[in-house]
Amino acid sequence: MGMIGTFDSFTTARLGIYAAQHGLRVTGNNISNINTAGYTRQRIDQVSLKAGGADMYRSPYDNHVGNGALVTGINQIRDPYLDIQYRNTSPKVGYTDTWLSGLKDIAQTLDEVGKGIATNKNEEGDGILYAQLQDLRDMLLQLHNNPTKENDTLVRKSAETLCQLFNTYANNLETLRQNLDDNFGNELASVNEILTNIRDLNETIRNAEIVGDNALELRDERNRQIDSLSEYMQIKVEYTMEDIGGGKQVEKLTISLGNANSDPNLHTDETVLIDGIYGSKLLCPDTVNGQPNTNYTIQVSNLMDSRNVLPKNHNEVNAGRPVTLQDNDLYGAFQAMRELLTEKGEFATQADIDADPNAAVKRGIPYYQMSLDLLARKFAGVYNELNQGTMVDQDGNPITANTVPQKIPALKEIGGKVYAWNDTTKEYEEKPNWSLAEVGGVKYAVEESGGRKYFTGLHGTGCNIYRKIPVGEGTEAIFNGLKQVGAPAVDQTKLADIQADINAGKKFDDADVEKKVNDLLAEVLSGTNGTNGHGVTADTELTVDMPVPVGGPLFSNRNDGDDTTDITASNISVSHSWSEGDVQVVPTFTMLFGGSVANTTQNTNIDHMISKIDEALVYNPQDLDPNAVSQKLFEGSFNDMFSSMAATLGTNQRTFNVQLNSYNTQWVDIDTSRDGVSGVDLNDEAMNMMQYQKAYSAACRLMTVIDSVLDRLINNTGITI
Amino acid sequence: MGVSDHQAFLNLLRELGGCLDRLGELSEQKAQTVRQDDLLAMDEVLKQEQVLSLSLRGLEQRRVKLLAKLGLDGVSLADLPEKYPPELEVEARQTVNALRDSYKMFRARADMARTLLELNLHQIDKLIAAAGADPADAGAGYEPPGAEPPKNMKTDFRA
Repeated sequence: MGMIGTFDSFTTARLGIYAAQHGLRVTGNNISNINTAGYTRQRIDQVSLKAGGADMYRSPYDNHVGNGALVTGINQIRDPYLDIQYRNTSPKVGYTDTWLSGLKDIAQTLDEVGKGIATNKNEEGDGILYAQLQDLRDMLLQLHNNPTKENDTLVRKSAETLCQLFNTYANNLETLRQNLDDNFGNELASVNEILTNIRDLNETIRNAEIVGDNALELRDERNRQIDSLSEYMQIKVEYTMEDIGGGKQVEKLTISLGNANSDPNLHTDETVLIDGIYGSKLLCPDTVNGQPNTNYTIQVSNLMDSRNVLPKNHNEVNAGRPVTLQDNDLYGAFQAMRELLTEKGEFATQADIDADPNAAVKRGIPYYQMSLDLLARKFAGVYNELNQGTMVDQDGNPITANTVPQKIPALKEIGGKVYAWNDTTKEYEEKPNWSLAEVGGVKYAVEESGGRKYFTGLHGTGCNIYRKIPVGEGTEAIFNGLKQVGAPAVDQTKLADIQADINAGKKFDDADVEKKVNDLLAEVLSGTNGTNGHGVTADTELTVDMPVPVGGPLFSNRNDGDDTTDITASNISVSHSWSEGDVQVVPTFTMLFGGSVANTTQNTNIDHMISKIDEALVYNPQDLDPNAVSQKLFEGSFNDMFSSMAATLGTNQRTFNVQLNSYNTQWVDIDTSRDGVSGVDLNDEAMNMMQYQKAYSAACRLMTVIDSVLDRLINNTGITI
Repeated sequence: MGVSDHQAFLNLLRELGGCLDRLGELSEQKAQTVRQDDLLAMDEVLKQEQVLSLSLRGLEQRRVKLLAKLGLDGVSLADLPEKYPPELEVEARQTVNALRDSYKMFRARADMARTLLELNLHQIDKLIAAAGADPADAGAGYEPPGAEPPKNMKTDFRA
């Protein structure tokens, strides 16, 4: 029988009470933190205590009994496998989510252009750009039918609206890029704040560990920060033990970039970000190797502690010098922002492809900006080229004179409106009060004035003489009008002859009188009686000195000049010369002399301009950037080109959407599993609470029992009750 | 070698993209069966995957033959449009881009299915370890339901 310490059992009971009380406190702490973000469930480490060793003269009958329970510490319940999985999936979610969000922003801009005005509220329109191109086509058609200065102005107005559309949407895309650029700066600051927090937490945890505190709450916060960092970039997290001397070791946390670059020979993608109490920062300098940092290249600064002291005896790649990261060393939300800001897709240069082999298939905001620029440049180039050239005669000889004689129709009737040639302004002008009336099988121009219609003539060709002869009021009214016109336009003998008939009792509706009046009218209108003008018919031809149309650029890179170089969607404008009227749309580059004018051979240049709207054209990225590797982005009409941009955007969105859904599903599942392990479960805690409560009560009861036993032993042994 | 061969190769790439899309959909179904702990449904999905894998093998053989016929051996997918006749270059680029997108989507879906599967296996391993057995004893790899379960997974009704 072993020796039993008289009061040992009190210690056993006391330790039992302590252990149960500890358990209750930890359970209470878990329950209190059930809603604390990042909190990890804690549990006590409890061991059985046995004081003393084996006795030197141990009796075989000496049985040792333990001395109770001892709480050796409190630890957290985490599963490293789940932490690793979570942090491996986070950058995938961050990357695809940021890309998708950026593409949605681009889509908002392009959709606005793309959808346009719907004819039915349940349908989308064909697109604002398409509608404006159609408007330009209509205006060109109008100019083709009637090449007046007024119609040229209408074409110009339509072209101006189209330019403004390009300008607006280019500016919207640029605003989007600027906003993302600002956001990139903010996110860079956020990442650096996280890195600083982790470094400072490492230091605090290390100091706590040295004095024997596990600093579990600080570890929770550190885990939370690491989780946040893993959304921004792929990282590798390692825990090692660091010897701090005196036989004591403390845990050291190291975080490095997660080897995202597929090139196995590169090691900058393993740059250390955090090494225990030393941390680095990410920098995006204005220049890299003396060149502007247009690629948003990231540098990782020196590792330094909170007092800006460099680490000693470190072999890490950025211990003592900053590291410039390669294009694909990062992966996650941060990299997605870089790519959205820089990737040009088919506009990528060889330098871009050298930096990233997939550069030609990554399409960020610059791709859409450059595609829109290429479309604007193509459009301006086509029409500028069509409007400049050498004027030739019908035989193909260049014309150098300022004017050439040309036969043109005096009247044009288009869409129910009558246009008449004005020899002073040298163009057709619309005659709002004019219409055509038939006399003797010929259509004459008539003008309405004061509610009555009169025959009329061309400006500057003695037209006023006809304005006294009314139309549609009968033979007598015409006769009276002819009398007012007077000689020499009206043959006075014939007039007197008709008057004699009337005086003889004949009526104006007599066929004989009616014919004489109409013959006289036809004679007057045809100007055969010595007048210097004549009535205007639909068939009247004039020989006029036509000025040679001035060819010139229609579009330029600014509205106060005619510079056609480097036209982009943001600067495309109607040229200064066109807006001032010094340049007009050239209807044709072939001037016809002498012979009859056939409308089918007129305005061929405008025909070309109209046909170009739907013609399939090749869009070569090198037209925008000579260093671009690809030579053919697309082949199709202007509208097809724009539609292809929208289609590319839609396809990219779909791809990222599927990727995000997949990554997000696994991310959520991993997080749920992690919560299942590390999160506070009320059922578990309630069971623990009851268990510790019973343990506590039992230990207290043990104390009472021991007390009563010893009381019996000390006070009542040998006493007869 | 003519335009028709070039066109045939683009058709093959489209077929390949379609195959990857179907595999991606199967991966989604597989993930769903994992989440629902439905082994029988997963077995069905795996059978379909095997069929598609055979199709992929057939497509691969056709791809190698056609590439040799076109004289494009060793040309990467990214460089393919540049090697195509100008009249087919844009179409080739669109087809290549579509195939790359299909592959990206397939990778993400397959990744999801694999991760969820591993997650469940990890939990099973933990349960087995907690029950005192060595998870490695259960054998590696998948065995279709109906096969003899490992000894330590059997319920001894005699007891």
